[in-house]
Amino acid sequence: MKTKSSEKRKRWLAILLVTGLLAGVLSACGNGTRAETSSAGGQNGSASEEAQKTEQKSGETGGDEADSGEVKTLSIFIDHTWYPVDSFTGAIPDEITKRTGITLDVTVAVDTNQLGTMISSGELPDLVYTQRLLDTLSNPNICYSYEDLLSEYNVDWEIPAKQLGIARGYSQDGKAYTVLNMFADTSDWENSNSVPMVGSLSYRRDIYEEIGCPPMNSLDDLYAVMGQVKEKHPDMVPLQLLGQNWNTEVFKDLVGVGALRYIEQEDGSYQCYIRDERYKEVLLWLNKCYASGYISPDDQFFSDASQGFNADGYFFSCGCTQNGITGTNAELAAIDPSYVRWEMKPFDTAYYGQSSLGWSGVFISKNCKDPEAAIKFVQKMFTPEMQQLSQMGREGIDFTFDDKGFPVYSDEWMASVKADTNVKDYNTWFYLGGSTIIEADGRVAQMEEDWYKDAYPEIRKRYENLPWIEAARPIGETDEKIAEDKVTELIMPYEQRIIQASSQEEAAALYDELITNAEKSGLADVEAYVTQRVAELMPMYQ
Amino acid sequence: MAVDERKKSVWKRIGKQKQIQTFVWAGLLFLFVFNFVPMFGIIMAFENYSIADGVKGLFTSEWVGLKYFREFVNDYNFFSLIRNTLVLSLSKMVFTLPLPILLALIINEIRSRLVKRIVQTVSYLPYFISWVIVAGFCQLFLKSNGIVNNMLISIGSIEQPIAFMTGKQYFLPIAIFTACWKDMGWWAILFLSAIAGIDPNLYEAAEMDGCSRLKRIWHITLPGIKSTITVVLILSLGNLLGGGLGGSNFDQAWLLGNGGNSEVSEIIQTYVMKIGLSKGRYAYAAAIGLCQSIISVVLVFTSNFFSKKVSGDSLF
Repeated sequence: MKTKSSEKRKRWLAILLVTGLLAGVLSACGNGTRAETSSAGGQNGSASEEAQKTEQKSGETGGDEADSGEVKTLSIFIDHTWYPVDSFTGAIPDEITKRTGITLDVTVAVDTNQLGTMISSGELPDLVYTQRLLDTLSNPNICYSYEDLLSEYNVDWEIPAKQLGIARGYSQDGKAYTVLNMFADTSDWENSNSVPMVGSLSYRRDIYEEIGCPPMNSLDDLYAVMGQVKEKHPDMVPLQLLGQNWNTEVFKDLVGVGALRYIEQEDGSYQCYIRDERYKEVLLWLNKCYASGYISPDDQFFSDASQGFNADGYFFSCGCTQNGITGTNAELAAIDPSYVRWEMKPFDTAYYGQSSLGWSGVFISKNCKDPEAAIKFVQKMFTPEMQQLSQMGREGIDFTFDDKGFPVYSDEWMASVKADTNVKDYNTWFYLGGSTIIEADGRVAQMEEDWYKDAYPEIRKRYENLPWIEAARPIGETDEKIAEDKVTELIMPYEQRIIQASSQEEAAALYDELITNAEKSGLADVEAYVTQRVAELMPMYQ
Repeated sequence: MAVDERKKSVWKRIGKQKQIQTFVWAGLLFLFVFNFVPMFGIIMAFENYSIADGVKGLFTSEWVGLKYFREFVNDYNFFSLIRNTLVLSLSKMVFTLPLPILLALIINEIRSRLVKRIVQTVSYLPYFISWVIVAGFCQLFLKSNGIVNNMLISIGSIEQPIAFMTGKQYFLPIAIFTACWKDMGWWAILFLSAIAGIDPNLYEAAEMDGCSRLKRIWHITLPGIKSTITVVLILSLGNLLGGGLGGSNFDQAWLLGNGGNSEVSEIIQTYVMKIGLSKGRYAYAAAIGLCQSIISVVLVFTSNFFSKKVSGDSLF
């Protein structure tokens, strides 16, 4: 009897296990089917899915109660892996919710491949905030066009012509599926107190004074300064290559190449910056610095998983204007009040040419449960009032304007900057419709004038935005775009290999190899394409 | 009549084995859904497929034949990708196949049950650690001011820290070492279970004939697990380009690779990820994946053929 009952138990256990396994298999299949259905345009969803969507609508976003003051939640995917916040919390998001009736359920990208996978599986959230795959997302099967939504829901928003033209340039059907934030013409900066986001080299002013303030007006000068720093402070890293975006760009700006992907030649054609002799000079100089022990192989430039250094562990640091110095100086002051970092005055040869069409855009996906609320929300985020709120805080509470129209922050705000709690307390990271001028003015108001007084006026003098070059770059799945992508993937590893080469000769040979392989990948065709497109597009932007 | 009888007896046997059969069919269903059904997607390797078209695009995209295969073969770094993939795979294979066998033999010879269990558990636990964590350990131990460099400097072996993580000459040793450390214990379990199946009388008889321990291993244990070794070898050869017994090549190359060592760490799979998937070029990625699968199938058949010729053991 005992054996029989134990057999029975075993049988039940087996049945349970198998049922569990089958349920797992089938539920996975179910997810796949749903994803595929959505990716096919979201038109073929099953009745139960529709019912679920409707239920979600009424439960989560309020359905018809949209205008009744009830807070609606929209999910958003932020395609910036480095994003410093992952939730819509803080005084500013709270105020945004109060004024728009929208709160955001945030997911920040884990890696740069996530968005592509989400698009192909049809699992996009309500909103996508990105600067990549703009042409892929500008597709009626994947996202709503802004123009369609604006007319369907009678939203009063006259998108500036240039920004509208830029957005339309990404789609095949000539409609705008997003509006990129942070767009500004060269002339917009004339009345600013700050500078656009360009490469900046900051340095430890206290140590610089300690070594007698030697000249810093050429790469050779910088090399000599680093030698002096290393001699005085052997444990210090003279040059930190912090992230992957700004390192070589900082030096390209200083020697006059600028941040333009394609540079106009004397005959009117455009060539990729990697062919420029001054770029080669920068790479060979960085190789010399590395060989002298002035750059650490642990830097983030070489390895994503780098641990980084303590704030006081390096002398020069590559970064961009506006971003790094305020937080770093707060950290430094906490270690020793005399420690301070200044932005370096650009060389006489410096040139800050950029080709900016804006930065990131919000896409409203076809999965969006409330497109009306979404487009109204985006429109509001582009209003000057909301741009100020999202980038500078609440007027009258967090800041007031001085007589020149520049912000002056409250003591509480400044205390939170110094305590490095500003992001947590206020959170200025949801500038979805942000203005680059407001951002820059807001950020410079948090800095002490000494930190930037040598650098910013010079940068403003040497800055120009040539948006037509960026607009002329290939898009879609064209041969030129594929070739350009391959060249892009070549550059970063080669830069690292050149910098780490064991001799200047090896570095030069690797540089030549970079050019050869770029040509094999189709660089000349891309340059010819860009030259032709610039001729077509330039008049539209001038 | 005879056919009917046979049919009946087959169903009768299946009925008797219904519990075991249920597990088999659940496994087969799983295999079908996740391994066979997705194979339909291979069609995109021959089409001008765009992710924006979703599943529908598989049926409607323009047929481009071998365009993506030609693109891959004509790529400037095609040969270096193939070389890096093969070198990484073969180097790992050379170490990750014999080491688990050796570990299984050592564990089998340990007399104390407690020590045996401890050694076995400690050696297979790393298998469950994610490659992300393993790469994090590597960073921690091998960075300029990490434990290894500090130790080497303190004993006077080196003056300047070694760039372990970014030097191209260190990538392969680190990849092989971590693969062995992580997966050796896991595969040793398989060989241990094969050893457990050897008739103990053979050992007793050998002992009585005066065989030493090494001779017993050489003449009884190793021949006893020969067929298991063959099966594992053939299966791992099939997955050679994916990493064989030594974990995922992709995980290692992606996490331990960087610009500094890209000359040796860039393999087919990481290139597919960068140029194919992250740029939304699924058709191109599928074409390269298909090339790799074909090479793997050829490897399985070839190794099976040679194994049959040389040792008489084979998968089929």
